[in-house]
Amino acid sequence: MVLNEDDAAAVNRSILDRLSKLDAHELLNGIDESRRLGIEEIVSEEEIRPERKKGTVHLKQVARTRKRPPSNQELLGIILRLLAERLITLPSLRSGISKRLGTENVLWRVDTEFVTQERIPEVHLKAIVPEGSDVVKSRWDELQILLSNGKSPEEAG
Amino acid sequence: MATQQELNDLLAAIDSLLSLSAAQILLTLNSNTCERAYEAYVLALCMEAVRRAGGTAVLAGIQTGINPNPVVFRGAPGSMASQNQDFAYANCVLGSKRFELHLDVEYQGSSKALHEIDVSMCDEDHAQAVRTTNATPKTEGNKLLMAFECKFYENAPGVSLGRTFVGLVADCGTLRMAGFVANLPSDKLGQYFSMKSRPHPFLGLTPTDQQSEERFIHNVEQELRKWERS
Repeated sequence: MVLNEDDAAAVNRSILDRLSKLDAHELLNGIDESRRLGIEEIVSEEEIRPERKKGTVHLKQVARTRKRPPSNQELLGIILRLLAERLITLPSLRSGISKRLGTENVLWRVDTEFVTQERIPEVHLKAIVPEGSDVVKSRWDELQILLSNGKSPEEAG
Repeated sequence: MATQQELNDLLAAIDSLLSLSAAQILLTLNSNTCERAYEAYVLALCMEAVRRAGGTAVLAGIQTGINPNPVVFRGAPGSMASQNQDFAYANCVLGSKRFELHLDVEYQGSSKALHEIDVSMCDEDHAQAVRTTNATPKTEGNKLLMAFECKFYENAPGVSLGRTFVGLVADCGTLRMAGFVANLPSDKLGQYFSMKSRPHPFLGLTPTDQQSEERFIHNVEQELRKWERS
């Protein structure tokens, strides 16, 4: 599926509104930070070299990398990437950890001499795979098929 | 270009996904949890590298000894010697080499500054001395063997964390291996780490990409094999 800039903007708005209603502020901050970091691109010699009447500038005096804001299409790509990290990559860490440690009974606790548990509560490994995570994966795969014009996620790469 | 129907189908699919309660839980999880899980994953990969090199890697709790249950990792960086929780680490043996793998432990660098290292490989004798004396491990003199910075990015990766890690490594003396590990690929970071003597980049390392896992484990394994023969 090829989205034009207006369509991509509409999809971005829909996702960001949803994330805002969920109060997924860390993810929203990440998207904002990605927008702030922008897209770096190499500028062509023709763009750097000024018109002859203004004199010439030796190209070695200036850097060829320039930053610009992401387009709506690029921002959609970034948003979907970051969603994938939370929805797909994060749950996959559980098996990545448990099969090598030989146990799923893994906890994270703070040293209470320096940090309170109120600030960083105890977390169990199963927290990163909430019930229904398999349905999240299937719906994500369906979304990828839609975006890839009917190709499976494997075919679409 | 997408038709209006295709656009409507896409918006409906996104809405259907984000309406799932599991999706909502995952999207609102504390980012500290994501980071700690990713670090534990990298530690587990290092344990596999030790085993593939022909060694053993067994979890131990500082209070309970080998095979602790539950396995307790640090929720925030802290002291290797801390007994306030049954913090776990991996006891490793490779030929005549004995060492430990730790998560989120503070080390004293060459400058005497303290550095938090996400995944570290420490000489066993030194680690035991630290626990006995309730002190801080050092990085110099082959005490700290490997150091990995692990980042579960939730934004497009920039180079700032990479720069910080280069500074940390510079204060660590000579390491067998230093690696910057991240869940997302990044051309910028790849370029930054391409300079000679900078840490190895392992970008886009996740369980969903088996090739990335194999590459990381293989690199660590090869370095371990070289060290074992030294």
